[in-house]
Amino acid sequence: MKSVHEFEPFSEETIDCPYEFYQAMREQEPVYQAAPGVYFVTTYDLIRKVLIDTDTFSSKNGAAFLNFQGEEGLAPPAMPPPEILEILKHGVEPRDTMLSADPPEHTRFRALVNRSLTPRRVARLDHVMHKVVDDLIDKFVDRGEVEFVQEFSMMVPLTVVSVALGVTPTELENYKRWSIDSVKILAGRVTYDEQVVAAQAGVDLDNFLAGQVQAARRDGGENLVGDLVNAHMLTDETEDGHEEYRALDTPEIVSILRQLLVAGQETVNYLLSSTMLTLLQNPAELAKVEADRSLIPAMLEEGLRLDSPIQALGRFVVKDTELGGVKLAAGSRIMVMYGCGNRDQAIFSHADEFHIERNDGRNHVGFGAGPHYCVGANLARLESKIAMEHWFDRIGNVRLAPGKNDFKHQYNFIFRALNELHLEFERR
Amino acid sequence: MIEINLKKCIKSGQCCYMFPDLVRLREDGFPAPLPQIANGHQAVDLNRAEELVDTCPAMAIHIVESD
Repeated sequence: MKSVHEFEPFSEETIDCPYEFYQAMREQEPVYQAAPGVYFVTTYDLIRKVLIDTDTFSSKNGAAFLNFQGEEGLAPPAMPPPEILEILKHGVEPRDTMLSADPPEHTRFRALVNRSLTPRRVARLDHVMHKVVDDLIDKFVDRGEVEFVQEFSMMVPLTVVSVALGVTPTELENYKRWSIDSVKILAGRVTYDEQVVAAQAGVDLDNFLAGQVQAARRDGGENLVGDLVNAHMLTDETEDGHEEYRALDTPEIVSILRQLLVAGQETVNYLLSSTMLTLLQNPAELAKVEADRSLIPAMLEEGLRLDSPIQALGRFVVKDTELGGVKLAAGSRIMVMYGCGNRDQAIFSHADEFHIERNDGRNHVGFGAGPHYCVGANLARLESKIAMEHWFDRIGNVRLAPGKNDFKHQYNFIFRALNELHLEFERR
Repeated sequence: MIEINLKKCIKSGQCCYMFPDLVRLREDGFPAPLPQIANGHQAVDLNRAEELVDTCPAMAIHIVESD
């Protein structure tokens, strides 16, 4: 095994296939110092410890996201250039609602959003999901080939979320462009021009969502926006049990919707595309699913474990502490390496292998753990299950299109995102 | 009463965070129902019980009729 110090944590090679580096960190330096004041937490047990201890490891002030700056590594979000600040002024005022909040504030928002995303509420979208997936497959099924990412895995969650937000068919093209452009800022190296496009798209999206909120306030609405407009958040609780509630304001709702949009669209895209590639690389496992569709949920969980769409998110150390024998000073930043913990041999047998029927799979932290456990997990599970059910119902003999795939991932420290996946198949 | 099926539990921690008065987080990451919901005879408000059921992403929490 190479020494952990022989790896270049932020090189394109390491990020394209980080798993050898991950193993070296877990075995040699579970709390690995990646830069002055920046540590990677890599073993399963330490990851869970951090996620649960919100008094020491805070999510506030955008701690979850350290900007990835290519070879130079990670840096706290910098003040954008003046031209971009000018664009951002026209958006909706940012608020710390969920991802960037700690308990107890976090818990209050979370309780509201949970209610809209329970297994039962999510099942309301069941028929929509079936239709969305079938319509997407219709578009390429006769061609015998598809670029899985652009035509399927990206479009399934994008279209489903657009319905949940009440986007009309005429608005869909704009919505699609804004949501794709605005999340580019979270990708790896972004050029100045891309930053400008992303900022403008984010502003347009903010204003569009604020419009959806206004419309829901006026007309009600049987969708996620309507749920949030009608929700009441606990603001105060006196000792004699008297509780005070208030409605959410528009910037808070827009903040929540923006998070759901990024977290709910990109991640499902990455999950579906990585899992499809992994299946094709493991024909025996693929054959099992084709023979028994009830294995689809377990297959997706295993995909989530093996190639976690969110590889890492950050926390801010608020008080001096010690973790895994390493002293962390207040003010340090850590990256919680979910994708690394999910391959920890101490927890998962044959951790680097894809086994749909493994019996330790439920331990994975692909959705995180603790207060910030993925709020959209129920939605993600249902829509990816429906997507794969229809896929296997209508499409058979799937194989990689010869000569077209380079299997490269986005150059991004936080997301594990396959750029393209060209497939050939026969319709059933 | 409320039952948590630990065989289905995925240790998301959601029940413990959203309902700290009903469920406690054990050292090993699994939830432990507090006495008022564990031993059936003291009732919990049905709305809250249902919300607790819904909060579990693994659908491992169930309301069971007690006699």
